[in-house]
Amino acid sequence: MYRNIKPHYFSIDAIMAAQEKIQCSFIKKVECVDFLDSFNPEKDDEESDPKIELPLWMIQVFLAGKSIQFDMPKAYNEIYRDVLTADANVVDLFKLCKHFYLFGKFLSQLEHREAYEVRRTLIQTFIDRFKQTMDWAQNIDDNLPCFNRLDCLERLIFNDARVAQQHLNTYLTEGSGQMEIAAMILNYRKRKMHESRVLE
Amino acid sequence: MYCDKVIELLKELERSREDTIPPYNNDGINHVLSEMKTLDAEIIDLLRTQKDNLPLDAIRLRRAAIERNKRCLLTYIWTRIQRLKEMRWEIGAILPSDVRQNLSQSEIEWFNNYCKTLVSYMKTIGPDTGLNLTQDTKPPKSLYTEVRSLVDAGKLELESGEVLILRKNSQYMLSRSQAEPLIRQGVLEQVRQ
Repeated sequence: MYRNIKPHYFSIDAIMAAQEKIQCSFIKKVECVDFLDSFNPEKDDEESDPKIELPLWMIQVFLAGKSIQFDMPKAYNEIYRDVLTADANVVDLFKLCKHFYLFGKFLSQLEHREAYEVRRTLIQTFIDRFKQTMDWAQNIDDNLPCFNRLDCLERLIFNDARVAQQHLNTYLTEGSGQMEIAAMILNYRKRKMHESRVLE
Repeated sequence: MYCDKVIELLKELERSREDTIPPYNNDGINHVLSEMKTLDAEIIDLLRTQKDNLPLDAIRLRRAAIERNKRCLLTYIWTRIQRLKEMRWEIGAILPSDVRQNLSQSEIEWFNNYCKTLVSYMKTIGPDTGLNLTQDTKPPKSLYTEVRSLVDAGKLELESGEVLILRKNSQYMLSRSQAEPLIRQGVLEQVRQ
């Protein structure tokens, strides 16, 4: 399978990351968009500050027209940045934000006063957590509980590391040159067996 | 909101395992296409009716939605093609029937063309007979290998012209090139030294 960690045009992860919602409020009135009608600021009423959650790609559009302002989402605000700086290893990233690194990267590219801090936190978090991810991938047999706490990018790295470790183990115990059934066919058969068992 | 339908399509694809292909969602695709057409009509309508006071944000948003729909649809097709391509290398030119059922007409056409292109490329490698790239993916250690049959597979014609009848649990000495595809399909198993 074509593997590319960097977000590209056809990457599902990048598309999903741009679909994450951000809370924001409008500065200017936006006309002719049906679902936004109730959220436009009233001209005279300075007090009301209606907030709406929009996906990231829409925010990008409105930012270009300078008609919106947004707060950093929960996972990237000051409190969580402090938590991540203190000890990144204890945080359940998947629960916090499924595409933590990608979404963060997109966010930090937007015009926002905290963008620089977010960028720095992302890099530091990745460095801090990488050793732990590697340890889990190479040493623990039953690693589902750890796996559940990784973000999508870390999951890719984790899976690759585990496959590599398994290859090394087979090489050390059995040597090279062994021909084996294709993994895809093996999985296909397991699925068939499972299906027939369910039918019975 | 815009683009919700197409995200559902991609989620459906993401949820399925990486080595399977879910059924081609024709209805979903048509739905997204009609959404794109509506958006386009709305833009033209806005341009016509509000000439002196153009609602720029609204137009930009709709344009972005069209672009995003396009990107997501292309991703849907591209991801499926990638999986199909991998199947050609893993399973071979003949797909299992339930995989075939899930493909669209043009995907089947693409797969046949891919097979043809691959075969004609492999024929051009080397001086005379060409080179089978799907063979010897791991470096071979000997020309012959001992194998055990896992099923009653029936007749197998050897390169020398002899006919071998494969019976369950019996062992044979076969040339590596002949054994490898059968091992990959799970008919034979290599006897571990």
